[in-house]
Amino acid sequence: MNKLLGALLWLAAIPALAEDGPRVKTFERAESPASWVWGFPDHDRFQKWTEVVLPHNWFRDPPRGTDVWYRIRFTLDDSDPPYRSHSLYLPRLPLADLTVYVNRQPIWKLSERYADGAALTAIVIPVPPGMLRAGENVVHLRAKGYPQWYHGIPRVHFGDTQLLSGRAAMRELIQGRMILMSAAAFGALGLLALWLWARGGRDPLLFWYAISGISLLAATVLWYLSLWRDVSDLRLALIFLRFDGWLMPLLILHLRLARIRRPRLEAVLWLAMLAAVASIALRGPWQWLAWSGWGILFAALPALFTIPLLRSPELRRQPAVVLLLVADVAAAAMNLHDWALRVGWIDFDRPYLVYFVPPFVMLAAAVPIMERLMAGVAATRRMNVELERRVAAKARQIEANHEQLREAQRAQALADERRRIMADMHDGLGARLLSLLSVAQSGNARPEELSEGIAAALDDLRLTIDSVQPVEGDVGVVLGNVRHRMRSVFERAGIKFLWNVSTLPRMDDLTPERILAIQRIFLEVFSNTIKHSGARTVAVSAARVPGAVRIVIADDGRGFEPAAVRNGNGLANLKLRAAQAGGTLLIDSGAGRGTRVTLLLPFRDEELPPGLPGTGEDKASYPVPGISPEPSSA
Amino acid sequence: MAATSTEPVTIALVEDDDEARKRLVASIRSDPSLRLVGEYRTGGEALAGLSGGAPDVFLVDLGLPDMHGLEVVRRIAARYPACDILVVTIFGDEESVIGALEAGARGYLLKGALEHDIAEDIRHLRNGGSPLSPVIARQVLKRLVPDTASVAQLTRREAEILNAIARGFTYAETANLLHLSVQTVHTHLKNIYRKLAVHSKTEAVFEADRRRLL
Repeated sequence: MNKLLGALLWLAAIPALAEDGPRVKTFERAESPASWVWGFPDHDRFQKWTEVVLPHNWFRDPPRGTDVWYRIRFTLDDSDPPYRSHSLYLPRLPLADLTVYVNRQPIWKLSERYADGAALTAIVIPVPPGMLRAGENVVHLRAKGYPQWYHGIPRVHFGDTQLLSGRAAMRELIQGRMILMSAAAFGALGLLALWLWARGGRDPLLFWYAISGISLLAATVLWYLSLWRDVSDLRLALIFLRFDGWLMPLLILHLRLARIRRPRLEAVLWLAMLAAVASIALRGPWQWLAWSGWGILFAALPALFTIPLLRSPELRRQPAVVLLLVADVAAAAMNLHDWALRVGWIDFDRPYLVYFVPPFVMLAAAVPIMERLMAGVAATRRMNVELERRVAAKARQIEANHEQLREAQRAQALADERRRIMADMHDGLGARLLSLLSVAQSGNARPEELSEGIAAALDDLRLTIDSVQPVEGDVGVVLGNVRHRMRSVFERAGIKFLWNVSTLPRMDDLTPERILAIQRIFLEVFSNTIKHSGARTVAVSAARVPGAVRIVIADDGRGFEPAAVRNGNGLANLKLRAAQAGGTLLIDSGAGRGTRVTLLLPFRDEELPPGLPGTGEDKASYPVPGISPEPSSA
Repeated sequence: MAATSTEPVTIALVEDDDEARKRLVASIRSDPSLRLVGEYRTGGEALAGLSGGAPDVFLVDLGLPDMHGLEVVRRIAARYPACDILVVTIFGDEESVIGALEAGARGYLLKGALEHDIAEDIRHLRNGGSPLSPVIARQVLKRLVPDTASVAQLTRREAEILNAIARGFTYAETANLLHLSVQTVHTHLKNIYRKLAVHSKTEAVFEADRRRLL
């Protein structure tokens, strides 16, 4: 920041460093009429001229009237270098109007070239060829201006046009283009601030920052292009915004940085700002008050702005605050420079620095504003992270609850299963063992009877255990397991199996209860076959049919008439077991034609089509596999 | 395997229940093709007794007082890969049988089945495979998913054999169904048992790796 300040001061010093060469005359003295003049002063032979020092600062040394004449006399002789062309050069034109005469002929008029704001414009006025003569030449300047507006006449330079144009260009760079560029930078920042304001936040600070930047840019561009040829009130308001519009948001920024939050004070300041702009735009009676009020604020800038920040040592350590403080001090220095220039304490011809103050300070102010914005963004991000963390924690909690629920469901299922097994043991194994016990206690039990009974009890236990073995919903495994368990029984009875169990689709709802029922059906059917049928061969097939798994057990035994069965308990029992297995059972038999038991286990999600065997309807449409010679392929 | 009719199969057994052990011993002694070379009451006794060498067949009860029968199976299988180990179980339930097969057993005997079946089962085992219940076959099939890259997985043929057994087909029927000889089915089954043991070791290594990484 100090470097920047040094560079600015160095740039401001450039015109003073430019030495006069042999091809340039610099006039530091001129003559002015001693009394008020009517018409061209040299026409009045009684006019007395008094000497004035250039630059002539009207604030320090007010002239009479607002239409002031100057006369500069000089001689050209043959010893002067031959010039290609001659020009007059004025580094500043702090005037409302100026007319230039060479040897009493008018050659240039300011108001024809620039409407206003020529104060910053370095002017090179070419002298038309043939107007100068060897010997004495005279230049008249007719200046219009206002003492209170810091008007005056700079030094006048005369000489080689090319050399003077170079100087004018350098001067133009400082007091024209650089101002425009800094205004453009600030204007861009203002547009960015406007965008940020519109995107979110709606911080009035940001809004006023945007307004300041944009109005500075607009006013500077308009001034540079000299688009307005008259001084309208609207333009005055714009000029006011350009020079002073940034002061209010800046003041509030300082207050906020100093952690002073006074919403009412801020509101009053905003209102004052609005009132000032309005009074200037409308050329109200308070126009002068607005200008001077802001002028005081402007002058009080360092004290007003920096003191709140300087109070806190903690704040003084923040880089953004330090930057702003440096900018405040630099702005104060620049203001002091311009004030000294106006009152004539320093060279009147030096360029004003006031134009650099708004961009300079506002660029520095952008840092804490952006910092605040970034802090907001960071806070939002932190909040999001925290929110995500909480959501994750909540999700974990919900997951844990679910797990508990599942655990409870598992426990419930386990309890149900235990209850079922207990009931089963009670009716099956328990009853069997009790009857064995009473037989054993009666004292006349035959050993074969006992061992048979115990073996049956063990089989019953194995059956129960088998029903809880994992079968992956495969009915084929259930059937196979019954066969596996009973293989020695079948071998002893000399019965041959024709086994034709295909790979079956998975049945997800094949619960141990259903498995046990299916096992019991098979044991019942097989034991009937062994005991009663006299069969040599049993064909077992299991296959998928639409909507169900169909299991058929057929033997080549003597068969029976279902209607003629005296004790229907066995068959009724089978039907009951089929219902427990979630299926339907059909027994087809007749004297001399074997027995065919069909068990149909429907899939949970599928509709059973009408007319399936087992539903008691059209049997013929679903051929039941009979005793086939060999198991077909898997 | 190498058993011939002239040379009896040597058998050792470990069983803590005196009655059951007596019955097993009686059943083995009644068969001339079998020769009992050791009977032990605890796992420790068995491991010590077999330190000098292993019999052809070793019967292990899973419920031993000093250590789990599976531990005995694991140690003997690791020390004597040629020894055919059979676990003795009352119910032949999936948990104990699969555990035994993974520990290195070649099959299992059902306790309480008619005693003359034991010699028959042992002969089956020596011929290449003890009876495999459909439930166990289904579980093996589930564990050794066929046709994945791992060496311990099943070939398509092995999967077909297991699938048939899981649906209740006997070995002979399975052989017929798949147009194989019964002996080939037995060979496949032996390979399946070996893969199951390898698979369980791979799983263990994988699990250990996973835990260490975690």
